[in-house]
Amino acid sequence: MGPFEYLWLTLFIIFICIAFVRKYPKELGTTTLIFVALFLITYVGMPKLPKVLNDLSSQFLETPLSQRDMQHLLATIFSLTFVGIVFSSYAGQTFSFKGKPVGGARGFIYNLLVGVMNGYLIAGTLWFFQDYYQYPITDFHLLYLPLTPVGEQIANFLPPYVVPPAYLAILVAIMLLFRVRK
Amino acid sequence: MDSSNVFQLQSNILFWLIIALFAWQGYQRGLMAELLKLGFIVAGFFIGRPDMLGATLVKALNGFWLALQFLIHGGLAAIATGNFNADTLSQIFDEIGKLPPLVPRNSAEMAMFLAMLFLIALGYLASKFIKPTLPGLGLVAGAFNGFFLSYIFLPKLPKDLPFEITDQSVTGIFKQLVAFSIYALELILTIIGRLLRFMFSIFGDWTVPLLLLLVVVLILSSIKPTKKKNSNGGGGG
Repeated sequence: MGPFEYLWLTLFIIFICIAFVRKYPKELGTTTLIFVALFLITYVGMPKLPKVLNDLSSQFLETPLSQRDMQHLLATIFSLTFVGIVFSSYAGQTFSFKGKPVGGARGFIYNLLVGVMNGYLIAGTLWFFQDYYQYPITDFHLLYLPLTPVGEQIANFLPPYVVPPAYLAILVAIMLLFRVRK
Repeated sequence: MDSSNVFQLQSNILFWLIIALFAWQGYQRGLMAELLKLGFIVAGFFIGRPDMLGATLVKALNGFWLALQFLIHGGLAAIATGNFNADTLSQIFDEIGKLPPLVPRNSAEMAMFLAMLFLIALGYLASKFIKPTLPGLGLVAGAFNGFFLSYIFLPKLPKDLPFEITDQSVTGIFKQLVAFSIYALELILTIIGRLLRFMFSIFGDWTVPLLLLLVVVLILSSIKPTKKKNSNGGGGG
């Protein structure tokens, strides 16, 4: 595989393409669930789960987890949870905003904007779990470090670094208000 | 054809295209909508120029920002409690004196340009709410708006062509199209990059959250509710 940001860019572009196929009212449903997932993970999961895992490990394995094992475990759990929530928002009966999307150039721009937003949120959050827990995936030699200077710059703006959990809750509330209004 | 002549030709074509487009829109929207749009374009024009209202706007924005910071950094509490002694005030002014202005000197031109774009876009949106009247005069007013916008924006186009138009064969034209597409993409990315840098210089860490909010609200408000069908059949009789 290659540098980390290439994977990020690939995922980002894939989600832009998905937005053009599904159209923005459906994609905004996914955005809502991404905000909810991000809120739950950053506000509840990340502060509480390490202690729970340590307690469980001490209880059942009779030894606390090493720091690197903990980083592996947390990055994997949060990534899988996040991917699971995102996947559920795409599969089967989905949460979407009812109404008629605008067409033409405006529709194109809106699809693009939502695609960019979802791409940034999804790819950025998955990258964040790696960055925050010091890139556990590199231990498997799937991707390698160091990041390029551009990658270093992007890594400072990954969603959970720049969007506080309380703000995510506000965004979810706003989106639900619009959903009810429609 | 040499590069400067091609540029001149392109500018002329663009000029007439803009006028035709705006004249057609004026015909559809009517005179009043176009006059309203003209008002916003004129306001935008004045605000976009530092020697007219641009510098005043930047000063006003920075002034309001300073006043807001004064209230946030203890001014509001001082007003509410009536604690207006010299020490409190000088402490507040010391604190806010260290803060950067909302629009720094090196971003002033960009701020004026954005304010101009904002006003023009606002005029465009506001004109949508006016009932179309007098389409013939609307056409003339629309053409004039197009002329005015060309006067504002055409000089801002880059003078150098991004590629050479020499090869007239199919392959040559294809290559030129590819070169133009790459140029257009780079231009868009440069503009987005500059806008983001400008926003970061003003909002700092809050840029991304504010952008998310802006995108969400903008797009959600564009979704039109679908009309519900009445399944009761209206009561009958």
